[in-house]
Amino acid sequence: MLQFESVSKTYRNGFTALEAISLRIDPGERVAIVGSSGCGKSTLLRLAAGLTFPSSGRVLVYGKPVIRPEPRVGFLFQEPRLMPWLSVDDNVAFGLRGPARQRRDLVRSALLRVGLSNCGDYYPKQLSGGMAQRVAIARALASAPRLILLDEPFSALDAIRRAELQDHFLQLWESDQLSTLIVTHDVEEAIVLADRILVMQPHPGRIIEELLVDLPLDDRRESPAFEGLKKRLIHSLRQADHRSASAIHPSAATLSASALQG
Amino acid sequence: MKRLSQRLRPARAFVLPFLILLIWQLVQAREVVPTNLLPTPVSVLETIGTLASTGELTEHLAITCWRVVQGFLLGAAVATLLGAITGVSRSARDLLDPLLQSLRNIPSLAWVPLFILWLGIYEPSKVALIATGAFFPVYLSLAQGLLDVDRKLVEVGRMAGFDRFQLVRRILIPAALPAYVTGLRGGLGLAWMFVVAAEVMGASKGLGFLLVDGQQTGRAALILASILLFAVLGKLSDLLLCLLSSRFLQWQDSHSLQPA
Repeated sequence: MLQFESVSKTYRNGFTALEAISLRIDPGERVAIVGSSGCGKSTLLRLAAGLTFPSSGRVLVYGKPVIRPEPRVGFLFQEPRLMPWLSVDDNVAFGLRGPARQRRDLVRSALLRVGLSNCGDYYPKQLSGGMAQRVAIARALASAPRLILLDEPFSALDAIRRAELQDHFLQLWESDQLSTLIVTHDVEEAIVLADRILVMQPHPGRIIEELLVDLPLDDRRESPAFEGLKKRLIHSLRQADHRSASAIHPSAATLSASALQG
Repeated sequence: MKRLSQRLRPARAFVLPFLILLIWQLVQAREVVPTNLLPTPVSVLETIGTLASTGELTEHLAITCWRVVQGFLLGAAVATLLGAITGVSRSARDLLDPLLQSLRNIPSLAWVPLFILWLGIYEPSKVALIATGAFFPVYLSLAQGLLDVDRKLVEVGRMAGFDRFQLVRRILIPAALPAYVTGLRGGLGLAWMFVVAAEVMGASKGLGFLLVDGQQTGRAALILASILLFAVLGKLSDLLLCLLSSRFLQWQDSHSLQPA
């Protein structure tokens, strides 16, 4: 479905965001990438989306190198990114092709699935943050993608809304069997949403660990293994930060390490 | 139902002008300054009344408005075309923008001799001058408005597989519309300024001609009448433009649109 073959990305200013990333997402699989901010995880997602291109290595979707955004790949951004001049209906229809009637039906069913079927005539300025993000989900789903890329999609919401939308997304996943790549700095979110978690380390961005989430899909937050997984993830994230810090400022790393022990 | 104070809000605009006129009238009724230099508001209104009764006023108003309309439409049309091109295409911007930006720095009146030489002393040179004035605010605002469109929104279009033309039509143009309207308003304002310049330079009709006529015949009331009419026309045309554009800008989540 999605494949990275030793992908590196160095920006024109010489900053290496990603180094030798290899990963593979099979159809129907859900993978989360966690890492502290600045570790290159958003760059990784943008590469998968075809919004930017690797300096070396290859990004493949359906076995073909990505040279432009693929029509069957959806992207759910960190912000809703709705067009403020369009109604909710028109925002969901944004980018849909085909006859008007068919588009209307797709919009209706997408809004129904996110529970906003009565809000089609609203404008973005009338929506709360959670509603706007649900409209964005509807827009991402209306085009029936096979692979969906999520960039910290719920991070701007309060804890209750976030959990609600995460559960919601899981239901959608169960009915659609969407392949999913989600990038987040929220370890709980990664455990709740993914089957496999990749931990990234910054400067330059690399994948340093892979964890399988071997839990049933329902109510993972309540599962006894949840806390254990969470601890393990936090631990490896700290190690990643520590290692990258020592790569840049050895003394700073010693300091933070002693602070951690103390 | 709206409260009464809410309904009377537009009336607030008249409070200050009315007070100024009232004080002016009361002071000048005692001829503090000689009235041939500073006439009373009432005599200015009387001058307008006389002009209107002979039918002269309509003629002057019509010709001035017609010049502004022609010049503004021409200038805004060319500015829209060029602004859209430089706002969207980097290579067009590299080619055109430096040239236009340096032309912008030429004092507008410097064009007058050239336009008269090229286009004669009648209407075309006047319209050309007004168009030049209206051009730059429209061009600048549109080009900058297009450049300022949020990359995040453009990315949504790219993910939807839009080509360049679709990106322009469905994202860039709607998003740049508020800036464009601001530019149009600025352009219209400058069109009114330039029509004065054009008519003072040489015209036998128009509000600008009344200014010159008033100066040459020593009638301050006529000059003030003309100035007053310019103020009213300028404000009305701006109001009209705002009304026409507000329909397209209702989506804006503006602080000024919040109910108090």
